[in-house]
Amino acid sequence: MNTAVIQNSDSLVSSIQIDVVNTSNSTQVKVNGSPTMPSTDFLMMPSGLGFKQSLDVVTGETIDYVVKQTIDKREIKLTVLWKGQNAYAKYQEFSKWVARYFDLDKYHIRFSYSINGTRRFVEVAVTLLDLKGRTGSMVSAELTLRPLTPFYEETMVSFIVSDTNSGSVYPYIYPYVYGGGAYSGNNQIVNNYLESLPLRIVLKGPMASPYVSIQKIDEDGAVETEPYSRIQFADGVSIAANETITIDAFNKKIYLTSTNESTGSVTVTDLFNSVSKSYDAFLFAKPGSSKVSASLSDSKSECEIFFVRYVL
Amino acid sequence: MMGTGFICLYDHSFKALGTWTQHVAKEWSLTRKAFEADDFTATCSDWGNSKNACFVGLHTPSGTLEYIAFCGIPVTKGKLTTVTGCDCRHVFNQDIHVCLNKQTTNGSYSILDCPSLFSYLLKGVFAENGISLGIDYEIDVSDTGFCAWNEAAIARESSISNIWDLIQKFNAVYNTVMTVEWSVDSGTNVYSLKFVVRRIYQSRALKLSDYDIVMKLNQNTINRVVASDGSTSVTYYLYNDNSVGMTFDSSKCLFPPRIFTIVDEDIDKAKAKAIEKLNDNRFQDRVTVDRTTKLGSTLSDLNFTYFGDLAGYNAADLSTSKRLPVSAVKTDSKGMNKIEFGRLSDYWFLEE
Repeated sequence: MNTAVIQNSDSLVSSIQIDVVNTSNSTQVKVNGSPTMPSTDFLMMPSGLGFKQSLDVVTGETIDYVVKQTIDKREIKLTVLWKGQNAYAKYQEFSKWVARYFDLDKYHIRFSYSINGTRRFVEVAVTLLDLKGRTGSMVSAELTLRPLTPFYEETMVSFIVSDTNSGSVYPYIYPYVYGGGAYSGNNQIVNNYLESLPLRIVLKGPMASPYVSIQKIDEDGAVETEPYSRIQFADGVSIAANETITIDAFNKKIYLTSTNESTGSVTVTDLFNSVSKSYDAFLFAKPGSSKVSASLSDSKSECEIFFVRYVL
Repeated sequence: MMGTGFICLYDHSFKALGTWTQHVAKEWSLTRKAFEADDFTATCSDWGNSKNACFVGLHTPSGTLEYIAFCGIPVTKGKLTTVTGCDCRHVFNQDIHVCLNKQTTNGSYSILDCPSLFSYLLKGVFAENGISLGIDYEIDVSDTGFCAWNEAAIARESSISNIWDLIQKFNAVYNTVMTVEWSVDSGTNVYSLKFVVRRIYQSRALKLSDYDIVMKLNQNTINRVVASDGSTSVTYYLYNDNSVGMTFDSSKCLFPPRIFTIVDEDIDKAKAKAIEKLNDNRFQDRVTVDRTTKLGSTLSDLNFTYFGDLAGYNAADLSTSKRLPVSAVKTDSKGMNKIEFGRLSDYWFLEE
């Protein structure tokens, strides 16, 4: 196979995509029904892919001791090119697109590439767009992206925790495929990453005395009796059919969303004061396998769990 | 706790403040101290509302309350707000009328053991003076019931005294420590403060050469006190094993001698103050151990109820160890995790 054929069939650069997600629910931002993406004519191979590990090592006389192991987030740098007589105008459009999603509380720009059909995503902030000027018919700019998450595959996995009495499971297809720790059924999360995975939990009413807990599953598949983390709401807190509680460890927020059925207006209220202080406020899935349980006494109530499968 | 945490501001009834109540801490630093006030600072993105803030809480990533302090005035610069916490135990930093010679109707002293002493200092003295501190708290001094009462170490007098200083003086006498803890009122789902006095009764032996050690020795310590009523006098000595006695023993006494004299018409009061003075100077050393070193994790469970038996304190003498209480635990968002032994104040060079 000649070089040109290899390049055509195994090109990483051609698979690069840049889009935007809402931070509140990790959904892809769409404009007129299509994912919003910036316009470029060419991209050069970026730097900063792969991983970098930091080890805190104590040197011994014979062997060294690793006291801390962390995965560093590396800046992604790439050159963006636009061609033609209106290349500067295209650059201007690109710049405006970036500015439109500058509010990091609301949006995260997402960089992704694909190898062998598996897409890897990372949420980023644009820290530098450095216009380099025209060379012939091309205008180029250096783009620097600061990762805000580790890389993750697919997008987000979500599932609805089943009623623990029936034991049935309802896999839930989120509007688009979102990555995460692997969902292996039976309300389980398998986390193969080095660190704990943050979870976003959406409880849909009606629900009395809402709670969510997460238990360790040992290597033999046995579920430990005591949950290692639990969120319980204070006595008297309940949610109606038109209400949801979102417990979002990604954004460190707990809030109640109420929809007025007659006007359709939505109000969002911080709910941290209503979380039982005797337990946790946010859930994280520890490395290994875990099982999620929730208060689903009413057949209409739901508990959705969102998480991301981080990779090196 | 290490790493990312979040910060909440609470009003005096522990209701979290703000439209969004949780704020990811850009950085935080916490030094808990056994015998001095804690140091705590945290920086977050701008707070929408810090009005009525009474307490500032540091929470773990999963939301558990890790530390709480009185909230200083938040300072906002750019879009970042920095808040400095004031140790909750400093509600006892009050100069008020204290009666350590209070008697019951049958003529005996009403303070006759450690629980009654610490109960009086932590709560009773304020009620007696009609003073409200403005916050609700509980106390737990039950552990001090195991301490043997030392009548010679209490000056039976009525005077204006600083409660915090008195608590620390008696902590030095009885090897106790006062800490603040919090629990959750299940009825109201809010935190409540509890001040607890515990014995320092556990010990852990460690060989200093196993750790990256920073030591600070104070050679300025008063190690002899003369108690006098004008006509007679008694000399008390602080020994190298941190005990206090009346006998000169060159193998135990500290050198160079530093002498302080206390005169009181009542020789018993002078003696009590002399013992107090020397007890204040017990364990006046500082040894810092980094718990992120290769064996540092072996000390991860140490708290303020521990003594460290430090072998190799004197590099020329590996056969003996020096006993020092855990005095501080230093942590921050960048992963620092250090533990300090010894009661040497951060400001020892300003003291006499």
